[in-house]
Amino acid sequence: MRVLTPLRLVRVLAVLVAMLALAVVFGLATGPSGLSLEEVRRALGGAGDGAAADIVLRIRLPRVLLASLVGASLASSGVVFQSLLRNPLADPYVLGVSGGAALGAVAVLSLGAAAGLGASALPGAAFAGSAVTTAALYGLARSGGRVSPTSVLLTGVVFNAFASAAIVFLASLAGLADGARIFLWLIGNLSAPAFDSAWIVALFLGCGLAVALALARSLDLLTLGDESAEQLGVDSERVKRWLLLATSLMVGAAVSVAGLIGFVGLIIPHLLRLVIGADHRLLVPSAALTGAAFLVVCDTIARTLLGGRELPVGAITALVGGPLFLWLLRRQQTGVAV
Amino acid sequence: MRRTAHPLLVLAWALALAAMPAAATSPRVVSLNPSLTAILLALDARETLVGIDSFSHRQHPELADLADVGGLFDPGLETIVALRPDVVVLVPSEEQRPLRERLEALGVRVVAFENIRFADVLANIEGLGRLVGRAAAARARVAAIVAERERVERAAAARPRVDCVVVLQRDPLYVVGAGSFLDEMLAAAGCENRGRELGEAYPRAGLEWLVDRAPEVLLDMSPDAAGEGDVRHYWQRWPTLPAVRRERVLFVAPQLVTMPGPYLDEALRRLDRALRSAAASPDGGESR
Amino acid sequence: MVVAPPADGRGSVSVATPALCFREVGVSLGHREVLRGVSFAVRPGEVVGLLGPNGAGKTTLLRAALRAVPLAAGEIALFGSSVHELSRRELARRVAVVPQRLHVPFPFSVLELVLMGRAPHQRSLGLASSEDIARARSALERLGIAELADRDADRLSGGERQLVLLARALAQQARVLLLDEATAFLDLRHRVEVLRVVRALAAEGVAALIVSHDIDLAARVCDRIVLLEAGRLAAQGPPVEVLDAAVLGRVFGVVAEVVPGPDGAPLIVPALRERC
Repeated sequence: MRVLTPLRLVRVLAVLVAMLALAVVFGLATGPSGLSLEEVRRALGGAGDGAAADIVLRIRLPRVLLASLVGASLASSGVVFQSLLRNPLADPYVLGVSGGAALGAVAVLSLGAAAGLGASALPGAAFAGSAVTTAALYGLARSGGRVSPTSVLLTGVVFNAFASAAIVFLASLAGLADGARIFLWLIGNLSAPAFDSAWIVALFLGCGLAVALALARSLDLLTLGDESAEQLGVDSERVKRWLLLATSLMVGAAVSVAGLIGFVGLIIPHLLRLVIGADHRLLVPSAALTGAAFLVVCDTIARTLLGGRELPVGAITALVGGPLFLWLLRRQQTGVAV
Repeated sequence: MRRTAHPLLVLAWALALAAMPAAATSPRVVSLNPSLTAILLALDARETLVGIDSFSHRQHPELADLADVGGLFDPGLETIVALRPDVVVLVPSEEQRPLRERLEALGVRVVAFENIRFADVLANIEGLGRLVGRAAAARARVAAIVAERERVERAAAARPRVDCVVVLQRDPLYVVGAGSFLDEMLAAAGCENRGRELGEAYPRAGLEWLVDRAPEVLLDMSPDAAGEGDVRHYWQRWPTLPAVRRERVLFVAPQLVTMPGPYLDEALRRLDRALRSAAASPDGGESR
Repeated sequence: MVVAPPADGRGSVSVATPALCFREVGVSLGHREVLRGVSFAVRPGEVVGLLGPNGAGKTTLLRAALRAVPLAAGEIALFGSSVHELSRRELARRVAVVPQRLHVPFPFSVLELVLMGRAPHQRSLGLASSEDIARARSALERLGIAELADRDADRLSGGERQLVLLARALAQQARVLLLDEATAFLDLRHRVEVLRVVRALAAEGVAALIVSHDIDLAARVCDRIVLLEAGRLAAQGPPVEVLDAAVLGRVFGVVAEVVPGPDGAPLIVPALRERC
């Protein structure tokens, strides 16, 4: 019987927490410098030698933490987008919302120096970019009260194209060194060493998740249509506004700190629906936990696969997520439930 | 420059000029790369330049009167063609490949100068010299560079080689890898470049790799680096690095050193000076 | 199936508080006046059929009762309180809707879908209590589709889906039921099933307003018919009074013979062959 009871909620979340814990252990124990598990354990306990402690506590740990937060943000916003737009193919990257956030951040990176804005303005600028894009996307993709999947995706493609063009423009204005740095930032990077970036993401994620969880029941009802939801007592417009605010916060924070990382918001919700169903009270927290684990694993692969060299984490999520997504699409087309 | 005379005579002259190889006394040159522009300036061939790319403009404000033919992502095909250049010089790249094909299709002569290895850069100096009729100056410049390299190598042989990593960008971390002219210069100056093991010319490295390899010398040539003090202060955050513990974090102004241009002798001198000072500094005692 | 229509339903509102009351309702969409001066009531235990040609304003009237379109004039009252004075949740606790169609883009199970009908009664996170689940299950059983409980709601036949939507409305425990062409795409068996259940609910005191194109079935099942024509009330009363040949000709533009059926309600026989 697939109904959400408190027991089921706790059981599923417990499993996912354990999965995240495993991913974190994997992330802490794995890296190009070949530290043994013993050395990692000692470093975590505070007893390791200098380099090992640095590697485990000051390089791997912040990355694992950041990857968890960013993965959780992207996956849960994916859930909300898909439900709000009643379209299983929606995700912040595909829809150009990440692009809008990136544009906000790039605007600060390239023009900010002139306006006196430093790196601390990045999360705010990215949030502004994602908020504007989300609002415009939702407004444009509706016509006659119905949001058609095709128009949503098309609008997203256009937004992405616009954001990319604007970013290239700003980057070329910025000069060789800065322009190159902007592009490098864009391809996704979880190696930001400062801990304060993690606080911002954690804060935005916390607020966004709180809103999404509080409105999870309404999200269920909204997937059947605005009017249908209203007939069951939901104030659709108000709920949608809050949810869009929540996703803008989460996407803005994730992009401002980590650049563009795709597929997380697309794949995780799909996979989870296959396994645990569509109830948002379970889906939203599950997506957060699973997205976190997924990105931790992808990032660990990205920084270990080629020895000392680092791959952009967005490349790994695409390599893993792309085929996975095509497989899911195929299943959907051949009529198997997604 | 051309005397107006009987139209037929003018036509004959024009045809003759077109038929001659463009390595005439003063060909009209468009440069699409700042390192090539720098070489031409060093060879005293400024008058041959009729147009340069945006980055060259930024680096050489004194060339403001020259036409701007755009940058890497926004090349001005029309502008270039309108300048009626005898030759367009560039460094081969994916971004400029379409532009190059279009120019060649329009009958414009394009000469490409690869500038990855040290020998490439020397060949570029000589090649450009021949192109603009400054072959002698080019040979002299190359000789000076070669001589300096030999001097540096001899000096470096007299002291122990140092383990080093050269940072080109701090975040994300990019270092000098294997196979570039920079790598060769570092080797000449007595550097055991740890970045070599990463294979690529300018690889993106992980911080973990850096801390694990623990180089004795760290040379910071990133765009953020603002001098000796700034560089030492920045790298204090990784106190386990021997380079930090023994105060062997060095700064060399990147502009001259990272450019595959005409003053590699000066670049070698600076690298040599920096590494010599590192070798001379007090040894911290412990080795990793 | 025995139809037992109450004696009088025509004219103005009766003394006992009606479940749903439309009083001089007017609605404009853009500059077009879609409804004007519509007045009628549905009493508890009554099944009222809302009929009329395409574009007469039937669905608009339903949507006005749900506050989905604003009123330009008049009032709509639910058990005496204006619908505009109620919060959305209060409205949802009193009125349940069975729409013509529902697109379910995600794999909710049938039981989960029916449980959504409990939402107006639940607190915000709304985890299903055992009472909620019991009500949902009994709704499914009442409609004879208990075995569908764990099926994916997006993989049902049309008929099954409508029954599920009716079950959801049942779970909502509303005293007023609105069916918006709910049987439009159903086969005979499912159509009869839905209407049988509606009649049974009426016997329990639920007030039902059915919008339908199927005049025959409306005649069978409804206590009263309200006929809309071009946004105005053309007639209202028991089927035998409202549905006569003259009305059918005038309002629907159809030539038909109306004869008494075996259950006492009129049978409509349209003339289909060409007149010679």
